[in-house]
Amino acid sequence: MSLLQQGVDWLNDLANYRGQTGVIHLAWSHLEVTGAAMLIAAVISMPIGVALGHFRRGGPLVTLVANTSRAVPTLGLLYLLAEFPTFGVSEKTAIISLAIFAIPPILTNAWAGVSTVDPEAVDAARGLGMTQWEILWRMELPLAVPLIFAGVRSSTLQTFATATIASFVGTDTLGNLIQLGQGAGKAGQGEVLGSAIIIGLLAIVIDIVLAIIQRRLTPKPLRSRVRRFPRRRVDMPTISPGVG
Amino acid sequence: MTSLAAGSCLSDSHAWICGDYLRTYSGDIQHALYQHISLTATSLGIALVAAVPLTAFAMWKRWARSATMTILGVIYTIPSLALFVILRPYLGIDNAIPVVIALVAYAQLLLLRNILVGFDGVPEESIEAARGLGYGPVALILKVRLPLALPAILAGIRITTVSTIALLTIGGLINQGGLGTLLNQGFQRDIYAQILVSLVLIVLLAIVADAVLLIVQRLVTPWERARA
Repeated sequence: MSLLQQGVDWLNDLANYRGQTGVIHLAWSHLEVTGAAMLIAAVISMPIGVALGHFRRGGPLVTLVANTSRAVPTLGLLYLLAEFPTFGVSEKTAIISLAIFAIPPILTNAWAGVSTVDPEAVDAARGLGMTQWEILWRMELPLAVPLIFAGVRSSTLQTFATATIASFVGTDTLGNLIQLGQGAGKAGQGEVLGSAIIIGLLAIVIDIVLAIIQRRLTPKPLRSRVRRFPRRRVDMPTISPGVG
Repeated sequence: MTSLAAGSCLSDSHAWICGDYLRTYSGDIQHALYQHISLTATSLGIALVAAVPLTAFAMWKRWARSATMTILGVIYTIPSLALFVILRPYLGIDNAIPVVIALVAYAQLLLLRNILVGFDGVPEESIEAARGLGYGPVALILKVRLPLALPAILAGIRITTVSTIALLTIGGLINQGGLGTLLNQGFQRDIYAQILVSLVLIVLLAIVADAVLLIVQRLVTPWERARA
C-alpha cells in the first residue's frame, strides 16, 4: 500500500477524529493555545508599539527585538523553559514561549504602522487643533490598522506553527498526532502524513480568513495600489517572521 | 562510557553549565555544529540558485509575479514540522533531503520578496541614462540594475540565512537538524547542559553568520557606506 494511500486511509477513518487523542479535540486545543498566546502577546506588545510609534521613538529597539527573535530557535526556548521547575512540561510553558515569539512581529508592525504615517498629515491635524490623543485615535491608528493587523496575521501563523512543536513539551496540539505516529514506527506513517496534511491545511485556512479580515479592516481608499496618504519612507527591516 | 570523576557535573544531569560535558562530548558537539553549518549552507546554496529563474519569471509579467508570491506565501504558511514529515516519504526517511528541500522552499519567499523590492527600487532615470549610453538589455541588468538592487538582495540573504539556521533546529525532531538533533536529544535524556550548549551554539551561529554577511555586504557595496 502506498504511503499516500495510508495517509488518506487514516484521514478517512472517523475513529481518528474522536476522543482525547482525536483530531477534533487536539485541533481545538491547538487553537486555544494559539489564541491564548496571541492574546497575551497582543496585550503586551501593541500598546508599546503604538506608543513608541506615536512619539517616533524606539526604532533601533524595535529593530533589535525583531532581529534577535529571528535568531532564537523556537524549539530551544520551549525546551529551556520546560526544564525550569516553575514552568515544567505543561501548557503554561507552551503558552508563555509562544507568546514570547508572537511579540516581535506585532511590536514591529504596530510601531511601523503608526510611525510611518506622513508627518505632513500629522502637522495638518495639529494645525486643525487636534490634541495628541485625537491625532493618535482619529488619524494615526486608523491609518495604521492595516499594517498592525498584518503583524497580527503573520504572528498568528507563526504561533500556530510553533504550537505544533509545543506538543513536545506536554501540550495537547495537533503535533501530538505526528509524535504518536512517529512513535508507532512503520504502522504510524499514515497517521504522520495524514495529521501533517491537516496541520498544513488548517494553517492555510487560517491565513485566508485573516487575509479577508485584513482587507475588510483596510479603509476602502487605501485598498488600491496607489496610496492617497503617502507613508514616509523609513529604513525598516523587511517584516518576515519565522515559520516556526 | 567515560568513567566519571567523583563530584563531576556529568553525574548531575541537571547542571546547566558543565565543563566536563563540553570536554567529554566535544566530538558530538563539533559534529552537530558541522552538520548544522553544512545543512544551512547546502539549503542556502540551492535556494539562491533556484531564486534566479523564479525572479526572472516573477519579473516577466504582473500576473506571474502575483502568482509566484501567492504560491510561495502558501508554502511559507505550512508549519515546518508538518512540511518535513509530508516530504519525508517521498524524499527519504533517514536522510536530510526533506529538511533541505523544505528550507529551500521557505527561503524562496524571503529571498524573492527582497530581490523584487531591490529591483523595484532601481530609479527609472538610471535605466534611461544607461540606455542612452548604449547599454544593451543584458548589460543593463548586470551593470545597472543588479548593482543598484544589490543592497536589498544582500539584506534578503542575511534575513534568509538567520531564519534558515533557526528553522533547521526543528529538523532535530526528526533527527535531521544538526544542533537541533543535539538539542532534542538533550531534552529527551534530560541533560540540561546539552540543551543549553545547543541553544547557545545555534544563536551564536546565527549571529556570526549575520555579521559575516554584513561585512560581505559592506565590501561589495562600498558606495552605500559613502552615501550614508
